[in-house]
Amino acid sequence: MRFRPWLLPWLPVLFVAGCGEGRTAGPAPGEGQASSSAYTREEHSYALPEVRLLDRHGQPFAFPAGLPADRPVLLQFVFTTCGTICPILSNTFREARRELERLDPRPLLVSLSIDPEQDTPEALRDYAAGLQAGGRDWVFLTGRREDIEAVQKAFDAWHRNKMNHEPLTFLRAPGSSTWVRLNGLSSAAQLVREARGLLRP
Amino acid sequence: MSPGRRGCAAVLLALAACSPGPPAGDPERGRLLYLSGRRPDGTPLEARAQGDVPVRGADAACVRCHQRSGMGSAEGGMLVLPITGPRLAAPQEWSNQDLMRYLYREEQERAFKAKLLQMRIRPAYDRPSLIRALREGLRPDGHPLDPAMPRYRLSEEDARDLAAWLERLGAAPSPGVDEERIHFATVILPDADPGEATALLETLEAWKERRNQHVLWELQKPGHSVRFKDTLYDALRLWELHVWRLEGPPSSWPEQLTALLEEQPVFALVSGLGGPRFGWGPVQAWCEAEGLPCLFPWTALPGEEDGAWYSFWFHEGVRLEARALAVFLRQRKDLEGAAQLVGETAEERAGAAALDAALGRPLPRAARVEELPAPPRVLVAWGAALPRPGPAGPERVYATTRALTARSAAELASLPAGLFFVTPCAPDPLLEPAIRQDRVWFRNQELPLDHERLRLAAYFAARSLDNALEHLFEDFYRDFLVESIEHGTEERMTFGPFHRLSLGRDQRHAARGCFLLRPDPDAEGGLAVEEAWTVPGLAE
Repeated sequence: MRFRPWLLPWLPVLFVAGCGEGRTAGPAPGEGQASSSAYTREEHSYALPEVRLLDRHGQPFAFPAGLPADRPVLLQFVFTTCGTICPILSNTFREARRELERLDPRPLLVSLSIDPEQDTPEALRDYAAGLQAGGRDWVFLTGRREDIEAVQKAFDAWHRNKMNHEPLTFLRAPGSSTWVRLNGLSSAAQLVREARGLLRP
Repeated sequence: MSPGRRGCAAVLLALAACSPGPPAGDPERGRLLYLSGRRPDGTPLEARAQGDVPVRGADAACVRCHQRSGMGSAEGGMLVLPITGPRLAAPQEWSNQDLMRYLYREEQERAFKAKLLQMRIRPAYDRPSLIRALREGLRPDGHPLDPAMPRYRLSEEDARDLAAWLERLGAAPSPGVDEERIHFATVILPDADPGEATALLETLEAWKERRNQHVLWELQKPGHSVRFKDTLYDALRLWELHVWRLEGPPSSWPEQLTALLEEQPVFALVSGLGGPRFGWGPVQAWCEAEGLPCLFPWTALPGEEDGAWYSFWFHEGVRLEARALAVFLRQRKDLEGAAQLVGETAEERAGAAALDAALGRPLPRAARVEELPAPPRVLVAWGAALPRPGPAGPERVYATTRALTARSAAELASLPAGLFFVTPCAPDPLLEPAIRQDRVWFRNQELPLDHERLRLAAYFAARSLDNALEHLFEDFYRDFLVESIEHGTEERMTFGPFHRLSLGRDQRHAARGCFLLRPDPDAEGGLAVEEAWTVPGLAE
């Protein structure tokens, strides 16, 4: 490897920056590549804006009032043309779903598009069909760009360029206003474990 | 690509071709697996990511993460490594150009950058270790690949085919670039307005001059900085801009374009201008066949070839305006007594047909108001001419970007009430403060601001190209340019005459909605918002 003298002043900054504060470490990182293969867990209370979104059938969805208070809620920000992390995030929901449906009360899965003008209800229907996401326990939401951005900002999950969004999953227990924030990609089994943990605090 | 990498790729290819051992694999079959996640018999690739998450078919295709160019991506805080033949055949270590690309040319989380610098250096792949990576998820040194990399159920034959494709991927840079210069062309269609063509070419030429001056100034500076500039200078190229003026009927354009490309290979088409008569379809089809990127031509009738990948549009032109009009006409209860004024141009006919389709029924149409079966209450005008609303005419007239861009701000401001423009272009006040920066650039070039929206659009196209090139460094692949445009468009600070533009993987229309604007003598630019930004597919 070539010596890069211009990088030296930056190294301490960059390495320290990688260590988040107050986070619970997830599983051990994978070898070799710079991806978010390990997730970290945090808990937050978010002040969510009241906005009117649209579901994949073009029906209005009052957010956050439409999220059931008496069931667990699992929420991810995705977009249908994302090539890298969204297929894994969405397929994690899909794979975990069988186990999640056995929980009592049953969780609601929410996939909220961060590319709303591309992800019209029609595009979301196609995306959901590809994930075999029938039924009412998995909703796909889109809406006006400014409303979606307001929701992202409230969850501290907004990036000016959607292509730089992070893999995040948010979980809320029944009757709680606290959200568990998973930073990074999890396996389906890990996600199910996190959801069970909501019901057995 | 460095000469070392090129040499490694050549050796790998030669070994693959000459090896008397196992068969070399079928690169075309490998290409299909790479791009579609399917075998020639249609069976999907199957894999597991993150340990237990099944992915299959298109979701499991290599192209999803590593992209068509094989140059990978940096999305969602995840770095997907380049897997072109030259890159695989060399140890994976970061060149200064790679580091600049990921650390400073992207908006990435600091944690991502820290991880990037901690990455373990990977030894070079050879054919057996590449097959092992594909089938078992192990690097040449035996370390497992990242859990996000799917673990595939691949037969030995599948893996050989994929390896054969990967070894060829990116083996040579694309045409149109040499050690000093990079060539681009701008296509002017025969029906383009001469005044608009002058405005567009002046803008592009000024950009090129200014940019090349800057490059020469940088290169001639004595004593390059040791911090980074010396590592970037290798990637700098002077722009050459060629103007390709087409003549005659559209059926003759492909032959003209092929001759022009043979005479002077170019890396991409930038901007460009069409009029109302023909539309950009034949140029798009030719670009697809050539694999030549075409960035943001100014046309109201973009091509609509299924699965086209190389052409980027600002928007869908009259087809978008038609769908937005259908929403506005319904919302404003202006369908009763509505008719369309449709001339003979392809643009007008396409707009009218798209409006009929969006409404689910045809509106009466004629080339002149007097030819309509009954005097219309509401008139949709698809051409540049503007029938005036009033007691002797229709109550309201809806026109499009074509009529809008044919008039100065003063002319627009003086138009009568009852006239509306459906357009993806934003009114001036909504473009503040970005438009001021752009206007300063034009003033500094001593360029006029006639045809301002067109000039701003051409300026955006040129800057987008420049920004995407900065991301390429010396990896001069046309496919990588396309991917960089997809990735970076949303990061621009100004968007020409548009409020905001956005793209993504396989997205080709950067604006997906329209405003409804009305003349307003008190508003800057002569136009005010009558109906807010409306995306037809999102209208309830």
